[in-house]
Amino acid sequence: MKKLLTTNQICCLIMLVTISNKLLVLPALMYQNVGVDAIWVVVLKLILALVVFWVFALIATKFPNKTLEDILVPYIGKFFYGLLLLLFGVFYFLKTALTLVEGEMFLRETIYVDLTSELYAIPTFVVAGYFIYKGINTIGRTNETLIKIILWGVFLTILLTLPNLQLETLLPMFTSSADDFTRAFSYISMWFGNYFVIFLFLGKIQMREHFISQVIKSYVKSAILVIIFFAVYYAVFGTSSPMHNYAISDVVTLTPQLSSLIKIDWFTVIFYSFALIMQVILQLYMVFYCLKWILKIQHTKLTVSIFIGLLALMYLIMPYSVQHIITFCSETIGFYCFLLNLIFPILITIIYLVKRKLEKNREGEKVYGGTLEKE
Amino acid sequence: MEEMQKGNRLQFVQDLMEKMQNSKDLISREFMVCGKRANIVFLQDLTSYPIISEYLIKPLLKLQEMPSNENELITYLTKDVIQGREVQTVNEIDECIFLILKGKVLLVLENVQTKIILDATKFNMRAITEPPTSSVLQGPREGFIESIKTNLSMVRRRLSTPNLSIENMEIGRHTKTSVSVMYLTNIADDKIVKLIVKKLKSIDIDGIVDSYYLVNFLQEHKNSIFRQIGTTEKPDIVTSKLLEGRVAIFVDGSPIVLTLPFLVYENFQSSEDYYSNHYHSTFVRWLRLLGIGLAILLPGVYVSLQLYHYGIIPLKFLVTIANSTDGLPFTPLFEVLFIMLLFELLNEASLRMPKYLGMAMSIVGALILGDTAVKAGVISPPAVMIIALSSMTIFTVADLSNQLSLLRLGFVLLGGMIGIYGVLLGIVFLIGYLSTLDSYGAPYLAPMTPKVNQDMKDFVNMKNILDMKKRPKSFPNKNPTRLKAVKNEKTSNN
Repeated sequence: MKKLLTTNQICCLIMLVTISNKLLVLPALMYQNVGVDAIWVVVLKLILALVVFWVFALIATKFPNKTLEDILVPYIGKFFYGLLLLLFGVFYFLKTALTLVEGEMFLRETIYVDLTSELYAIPTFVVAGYFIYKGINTIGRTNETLIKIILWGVFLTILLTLPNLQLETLLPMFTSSADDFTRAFSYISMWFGNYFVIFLFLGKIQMREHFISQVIKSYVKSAILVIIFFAVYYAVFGTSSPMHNYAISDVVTLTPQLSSLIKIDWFTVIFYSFALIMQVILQLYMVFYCLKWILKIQHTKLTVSIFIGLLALMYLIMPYSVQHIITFCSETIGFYCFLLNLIFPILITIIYLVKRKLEKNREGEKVYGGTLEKE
Repeated sequence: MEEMQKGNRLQFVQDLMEKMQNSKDLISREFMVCGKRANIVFLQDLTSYPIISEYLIKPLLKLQEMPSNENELITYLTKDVIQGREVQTVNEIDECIFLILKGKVLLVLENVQTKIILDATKFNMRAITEPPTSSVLQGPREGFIESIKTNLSMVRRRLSTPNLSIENMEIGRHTKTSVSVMYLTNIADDKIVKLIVKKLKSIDIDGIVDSYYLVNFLQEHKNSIFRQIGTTEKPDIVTSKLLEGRVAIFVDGSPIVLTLPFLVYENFQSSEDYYSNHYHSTFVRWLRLLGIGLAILLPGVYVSLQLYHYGIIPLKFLVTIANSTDGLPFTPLFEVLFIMLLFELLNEASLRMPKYLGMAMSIVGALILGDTAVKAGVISPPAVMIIALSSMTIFTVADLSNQLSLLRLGFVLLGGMIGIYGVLLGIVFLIGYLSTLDSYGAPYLAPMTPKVNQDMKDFVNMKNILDMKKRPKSFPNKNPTRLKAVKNEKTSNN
């Protein structure tokens, strides 16, 4: 099997899915539910994701040449595997819609008052179509190049906000009820459920030494950046946090040192747009991947064009409002997304454990049953 | 062919002359050798008559007797009588013609089937000078010329190793151009060498006039605007590329040598980087990178700022720009496109014009056209400044100037139609496109992506040469070790 992604590319994809689309409306949305305790909700979510990434890395090393399909189908059958892919296809379809509307509103609010949906969506879908056609190799390589700009952009944003920090606004903590906390935990699953992406790359990775630690290190680095950003955001805006829907650009607007010279929130738009574009590309690729398997279609220019054309048409024709989509993704289906996100990690872990136990039993049989092969 | 077998000298010479259309510069001279009639046939302009006279005619005329057996006669003549650089025998008339066309002299003896060929090629070539496309402040200044033999010798002189291998071939049905593939057998990857040689041998074209003719046959993505083959005019660069495990292709008549595999980062490298301090080289490479960024993005960003996002421009600048652009007949997009067109026309004209007219051209372009257009209110000073800066920075990486000009145009259109988001999408697309390219198995964007840590030492941040212990890993080679050990002997006690 052709190995499509290097270890570094997988690490960069993990960093992308950890950072992208969490730094726009999510901080304000979470503050509405649990106040400053949102930081702890994020911490818990990221710890859960850490476990999932660890499982992924472990499975990837234990089954280096097996794809997700190779691992799951013998145990759950093609029908249920297809059903799971369908669910994830729908999940990523909704997630793409969420990322697209967030991105569009972000651009319109920050730099582009006259931006129309057509002007935003058509070029985005065309570029995404090109990447889907070219495949995950191209997505991985492009992301590997751009991720440095994205990470350094977030880091620089955090640095620029330091003069405006009011750390006392972070206190008191743990004032939310357990109910609010749990609800917030499940509501935000649509923003956190990206880790499934990497499971589809099982069996397609050129693994190098210390693969597990490389994966964990990359994830931890980006997760820490996200946690610090949330803390910085709440420390800057305090109780007015829910009013700032575009966290990444709003958070630097108060920086007095540079704001007199230039509107510095523009640079955040530039680097964060890269993150959003890559995120949309990756998610659309996932939708296409799931559909391709379910409908047994070929990966050709025509099929990709039809797929992209239909999605672009849906995006442009369907009546929606940003608020409706956000409410739907958080309150209506948030809990189900949470469950869905755990299915693959749990299933794979169970299969791995069962398989290991079976292998141990077989080894025992070989020794005690006298069937041990001669050396 | 029948005559050739019989050894009929006159008939053979006549056939040969006819086949070569009785060309006026084709000379056939008859003389006697030990009572046997003989002819020499050669092309007047390609051969050196003193060589023919000194090494062929004089020794033959001095002969007192000759062996009667044909084989013995040929051996005797080629080994003991005829002197010169290269003496060989041929039987086929077509081969005779081919060699005559290469500047060799044909000797035809009466009733002797085998013909003798003497190399008497006349070399008219220019002196070895510093190539105009890659002048340096430090480092070797000699550049390749149009003679393949001289070019090969320049590299051979630098690589005194028996592992230096050269494969020769002729390409072009009419031109029969000599092409040489050079590589180090103990370093270059066999598969790459075989593939290159195979591709070259499969070329069936009427003629090869310059090495650029081969580029499209060799590069894997033929319709890409980005070249996937390195070109250089300097033997020191070819030597260093061979030492990295690359393959060099020399073409007779061209001072440009092709190198393969070629990766995008080679565009940022200059031979001078290795002859100066590595910190300075790093700084210069960052400048080149910045230059590329400014060259392709600046006009596009300027147009998008003017059209959609003037809020980003600080107020004082905005007022200045607004005053300058007030009352212009064009929109910012057309204004920038117009200036770019003017620049490209001036550039094209100045390249083709005789040198002594260059100064006049600059005056016409800069003063008359530029200044007058601004004063007449056709274009604005900020737009002229932006295009001038962008055009200047295009030449920080001169090898990429053609591609950068096209990309700049693309980004201007994106910025004009979609705004800054269009420019960002363009960047993502460009990186995506570049990452799909490869050159003989080497990813075009390596070592940036896929990341190859070892090769990052010679990327934008250049390390000391002592740290580059391994050869590039971005493309395959047989021997990864470059630097075996560094003895750290201090010369002072301090």
